[in-house]
Amino acid sequence: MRPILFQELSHLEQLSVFKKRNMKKILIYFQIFIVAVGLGSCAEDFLDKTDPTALVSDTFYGTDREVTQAVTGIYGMLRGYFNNHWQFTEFITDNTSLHFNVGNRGQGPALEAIEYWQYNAGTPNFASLYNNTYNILVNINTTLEKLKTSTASQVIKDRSEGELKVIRAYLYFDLVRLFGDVIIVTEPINTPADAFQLQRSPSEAVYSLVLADLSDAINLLPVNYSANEVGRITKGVALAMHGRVRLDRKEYAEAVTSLKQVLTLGYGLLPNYADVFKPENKNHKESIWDVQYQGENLFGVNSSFIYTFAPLASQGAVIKFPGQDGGGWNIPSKEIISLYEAGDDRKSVSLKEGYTNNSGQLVPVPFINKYNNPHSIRGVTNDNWPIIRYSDVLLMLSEAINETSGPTSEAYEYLNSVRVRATLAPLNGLDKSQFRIAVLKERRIELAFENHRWFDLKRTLSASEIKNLLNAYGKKEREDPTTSRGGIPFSQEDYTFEEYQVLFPIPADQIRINPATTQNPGY
Amino acid sequence: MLLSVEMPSISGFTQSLDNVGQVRNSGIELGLDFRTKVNRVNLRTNLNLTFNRNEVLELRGGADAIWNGSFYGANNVSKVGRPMAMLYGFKMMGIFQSDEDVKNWPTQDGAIPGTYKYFDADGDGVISYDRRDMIEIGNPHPAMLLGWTLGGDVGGFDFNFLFTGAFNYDMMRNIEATTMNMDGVFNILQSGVNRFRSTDMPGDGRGATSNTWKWQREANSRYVYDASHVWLRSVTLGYSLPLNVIKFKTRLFFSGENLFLFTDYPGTNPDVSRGGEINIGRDDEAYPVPRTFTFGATISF
Repeated sequence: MRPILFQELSHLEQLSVFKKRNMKKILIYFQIFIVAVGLGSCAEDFLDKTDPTALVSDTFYGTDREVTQAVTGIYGMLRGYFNNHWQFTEFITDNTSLHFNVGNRGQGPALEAIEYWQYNAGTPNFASLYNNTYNILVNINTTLEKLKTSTASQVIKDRSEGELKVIRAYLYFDLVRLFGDVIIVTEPINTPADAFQLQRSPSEAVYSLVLADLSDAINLLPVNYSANEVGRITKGVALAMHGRVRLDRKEYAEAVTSLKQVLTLGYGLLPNYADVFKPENKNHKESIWDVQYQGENLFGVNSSFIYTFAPLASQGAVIKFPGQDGGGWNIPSKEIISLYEAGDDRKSVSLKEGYTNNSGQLVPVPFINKYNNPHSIRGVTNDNWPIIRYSDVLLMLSEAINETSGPTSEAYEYLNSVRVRATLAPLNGLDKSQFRIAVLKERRIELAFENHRWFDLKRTLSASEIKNLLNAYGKKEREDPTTSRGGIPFSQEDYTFEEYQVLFPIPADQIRINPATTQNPGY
Repeated sequence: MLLSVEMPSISGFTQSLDNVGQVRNSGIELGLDFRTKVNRVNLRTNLNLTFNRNEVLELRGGADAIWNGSFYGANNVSKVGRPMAMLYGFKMMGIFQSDEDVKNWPTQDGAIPGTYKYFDADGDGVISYDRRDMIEIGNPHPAMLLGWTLGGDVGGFDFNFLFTGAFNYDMMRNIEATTMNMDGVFNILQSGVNRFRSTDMPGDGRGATSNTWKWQREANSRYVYDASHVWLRSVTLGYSLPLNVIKFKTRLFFSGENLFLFTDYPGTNPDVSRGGEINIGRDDEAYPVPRTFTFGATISF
């Protein structure tokens, strides 16, 4: 009989043979190990190893490079946030409607519920919004906490703190306006049990946090960045946000103070409205804060808004790829189309009232055109999303000045500079309330489809006024819908807005998981 | 029970792994082994029956239930006092036959004749488009599992049969939310011809009107089927050639796997489950189980 080779043994057999042959050696090593542990005062460190191949939050955030990476990662999360932001700020309002998808209902009803004001605590899009917001906030809080003990340079630490606090303020400002009282989290949550302890804070407390974060950021942030870091949050962003929050709270004098400082920072209107939305011009002097997207590559940091907003079954006639359809969402309503004054440059830039299909026929389905730009890879667009533009600052200023001192020449100057850029005649001779209405309308047109409308309504109207305004719009849509519904009638409850709906519901899942969480009235 | 459980999303996470409570599995398992000889035939058989009941005894933390799945698709809910992972959804009571029918039913906004009629479980007069009116609609745990082998030999011939089975359990045929989806222009199952067309042509009571645009794809009992089945998993027939015929010890055999499935379940495999853990009982029509035939010979030189 030939001897059995070691390789021929089963795994278990190999192990036992190995043990037999090596037991002596193992014992020796073990003794050496004991001696080493006994001798060294570093015995505990010796056992306390981290995996050198993984990035661990406990050891990260040590250098300038790591801190910057962490903050950039949070900027990246804003892309996901803004991919759906239109649903809650534009789509829900009288600015846009939808192209009813008779051919494929899919999970459409969940999103249509927002347009038709049929939403309730179980509407999944609110849960995504809520969860996504807190997910970003937790990352911000963790990074802010780590900054305290980071060994990175003071310049980078200060700047990063400023950037993160502006984003945190932005998110809480959204939360408090959309949901009302919300849970405030400003520090890392270490155990699940801790998460169950936190309860909603009054909206005043949320506003205090927002203002405190912005004040800190104003002192920490630089006015501009070197060319390869353009797009990061600047002092101008913090000041403009501060003005926006003050305006929302009707603290007009404070709003004017902050907004006027933005005027001194070198921003300005581009001469031509169309140039504002061209990807090749991105981060121009009118752009104060954009969500940075990048197309023309497959890194996955692109936008794709036109693919959501273009009409259904447009077959490449809108998005210039063979057979490419749009999602048919966020379709400009007949109402907003009718509001453009004759000769307004902005109309053809912001929207199209229809398109010519491949058979040469005009299809009267409107769509948003601001984010419809040529791109070379299907599904990958290069459009940034504007959060704050200089024209927004000018209009906020004219609104705030009018509220404090009436339509002064200064208030006219800011309003009219926006109108003149759009090739419209300047306004004059309005009284205070006419001026207020004029500014609001100018905002609606100038900032159309940039996620301002819902907040503008909530800032300037009471809940019952919003109810009346929206129901009047809803009645028009029911009688004469912006797009054909393919013979499908409206549901009875479609387009019926109730006052309580000015605040979104706390997602039902969150209350089910933690029954101590309270719900907004009406839901 | 070590499971991922939900936690408030303000923590930045929606789930964490935790020891969440206790489940009791109780039941009996019977094994019967029998050998006999009838004339020249040796017979062997083994029957294995398992009866199991499981019950959630305790859930820790604030939640009184563990939810898995989604509003569209298979929902599973584990509650104290009930078996784990019960299927959850709207109870489908039939199809609205007429406008009159819609009017006399609790408000189901957007329903038209031909839409699924759901049960107003919380009794508030409204079937709301969320989970409030959802109830238990199925139990994914078989009441009995079966394993049965029957084997024997006579002369040079031998044979072996293996049956498996599971009885009295439910499966959510989630795939039909797509393959019986009438709310658009799609390829659908042939049974779609029996859909509701009008009050006079109500169809088979399971296919919604093609005009519907809501109340169809939500988790509901329309998609729940009894998945009881017996499966002839394998058959082996062999013949050992007599040694006086051939020099080497030789056995020729034929075997077949998954030969017959006895079930009323409409899918190709009542034994599938997507999701795992406590998100069970969901059939998204996985790759079908192949029927295989093998002919072979074992020869010892």
